[in-house]
Amino acid sequence: MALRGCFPARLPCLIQRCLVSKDLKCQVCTTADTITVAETTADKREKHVHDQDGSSPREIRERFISPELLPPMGTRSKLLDYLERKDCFRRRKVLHIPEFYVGSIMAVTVADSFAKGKSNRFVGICTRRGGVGLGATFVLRNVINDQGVDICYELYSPLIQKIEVLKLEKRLDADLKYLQDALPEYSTIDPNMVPIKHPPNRAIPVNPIKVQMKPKPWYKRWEREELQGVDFSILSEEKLEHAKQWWLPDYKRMDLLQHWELPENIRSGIEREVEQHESELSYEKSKR
Amino acid sequence: MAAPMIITRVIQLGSKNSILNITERLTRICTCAVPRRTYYDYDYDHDVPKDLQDFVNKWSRVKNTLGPSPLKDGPWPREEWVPGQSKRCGLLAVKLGMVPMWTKSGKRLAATALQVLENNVVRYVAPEDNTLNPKYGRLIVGARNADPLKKPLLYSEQFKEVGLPVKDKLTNFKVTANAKIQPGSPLYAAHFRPGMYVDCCGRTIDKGFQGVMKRWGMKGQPASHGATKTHRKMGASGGGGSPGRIWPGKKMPGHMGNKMSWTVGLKVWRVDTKHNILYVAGSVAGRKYGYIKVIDSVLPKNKKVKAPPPFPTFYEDEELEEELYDDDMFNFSDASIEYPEDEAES
Repeated sequence: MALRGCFPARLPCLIQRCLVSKDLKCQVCTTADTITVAETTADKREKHVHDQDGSSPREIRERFISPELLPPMGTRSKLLDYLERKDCFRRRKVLHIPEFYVGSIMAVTVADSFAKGKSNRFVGICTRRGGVGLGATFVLRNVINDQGVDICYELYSPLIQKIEVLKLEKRLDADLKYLQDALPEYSTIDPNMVPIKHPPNRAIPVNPIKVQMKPKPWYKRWEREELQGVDFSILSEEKLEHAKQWWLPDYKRMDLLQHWELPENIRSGIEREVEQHESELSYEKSKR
Repeated sequence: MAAPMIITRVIQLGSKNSILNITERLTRICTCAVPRRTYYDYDYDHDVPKDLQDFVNKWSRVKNTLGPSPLKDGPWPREEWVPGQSKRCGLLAVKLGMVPMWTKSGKRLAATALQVLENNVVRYVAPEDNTLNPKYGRLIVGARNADPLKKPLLYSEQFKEVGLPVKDKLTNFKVTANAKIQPGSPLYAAHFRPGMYVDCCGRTIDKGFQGVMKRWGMKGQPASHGATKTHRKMGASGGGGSPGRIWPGKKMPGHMGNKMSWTVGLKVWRVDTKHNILYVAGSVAGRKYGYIKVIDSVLPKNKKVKAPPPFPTFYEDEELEEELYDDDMFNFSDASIEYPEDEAES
């Protein structure tokens, strides 16, 4: 809309460039107002695809596989991994385990014999995920009555009654252990938070927030880790420069031997198992 | 590598002999003279053309099984279980790793998965012939089919009369005369049932030569306060003038690990009869993929199990479900655990 007033002379060439450069020549776009085409190009062009029928746009995203289903590097028994995965799917048919990442806000309800209603609900931010197969865990953190609380939950424990994702998002780091040494406002979450719905098939948003740290002492010298989501403005520049010598050197980062990926035949096999599990789930739902 | 060169020279010397004689010589020479791993990649191009190599491999694997099996003569009679007296055969399993499990009350258990891989009875020694202990007979059990080219000839020949492929590992089990099993018959994981207690024997991980702190858990000496050259040493080694020597069996530095050790009284929680896997609560000594001997527990708590075990072993004519669970174990397809609310509170 802003383009109409600013530079009308350049408009046609802009539209032309958009149409030529990417395969955006779908029916819905061309029939609409010319300016709307220019606006859509501001979004992620590549992921913006229309269905053949001309229905609403959707974004293509890769199939999500929960990380504990993928076996890590090392000499492992393939048979035992397979049997463990089978048990995982068996449990997932009873308990809905949603897609979540480190950084997303969650609520977990656990059976507790000492609690009032024999169950306990805890809301917090997911700070780390770990474990393989049935031993998978995740840690939730919250500040309650000015006291930080970290609880490690077992994903496949039968005591877990419900897992909800209140806000689905990612952070800049894969491990948020440093929130223990950050200011408490970054890990305080309202326990009565209203869940925010994530539209299906849309990319997961990354929260670019940079947390302020408490003054030292810390659990660890965090400036020596290469962290993206921390603002180290309390430290002097000299100290930050000095800490850089513990960062991973370039020659190690580029080392191909350090990069390991699952062999494709194993990965595709697991993908097939996940597909089968999802189809069985949808079949059971349609039965009801 | 230097080792294959030596082997090729050996082949050239004995090239006029048949293939089997060469393999026999090779395995014997390689196992003693050269490092062990080299006999996998020896080069016998001089004697066998490349087209025949696959054929030789396949033939050597099948060769033993072509003979008459003792199972053809008909099964041995099955005798009845006498509680407190009869002693059953055990199994030779492979340790796969550990997995978590939960009970119905929500308690977490760490279970060891033991796979019963291609177990067969190879030989039975009657109590009369058992010179070591004439009270009991012996059952010799083999596990996991192996490549006979990598085994000595004398070893692989003992499977010929039973009509079995060559096994990687052999053990023996002490049994009473009524628990004998016909040679050649297979053994399955359903030999043990959930709720039974077992003893497991494995070879512990080799730690090498270790000091007294790691090997025996002694305290050592302080790091500072004037201590010189004594930080991880043991203190006194015994009395003074009255014994005038060190008592035998004093705990001292030495080789640690790489010895057989028993873990006793482990409960079987789950049996996978399709894949032949036992899930046993607790840790078992030994490395991953190592062999582990599993027998009925000698502890008195095993006698409290009322149901008689499959005797002398599980046979295929008995129909079982794919997975057997203990009564207290949480099945993953059950609903989540919920504690009942107290009446007094409400």
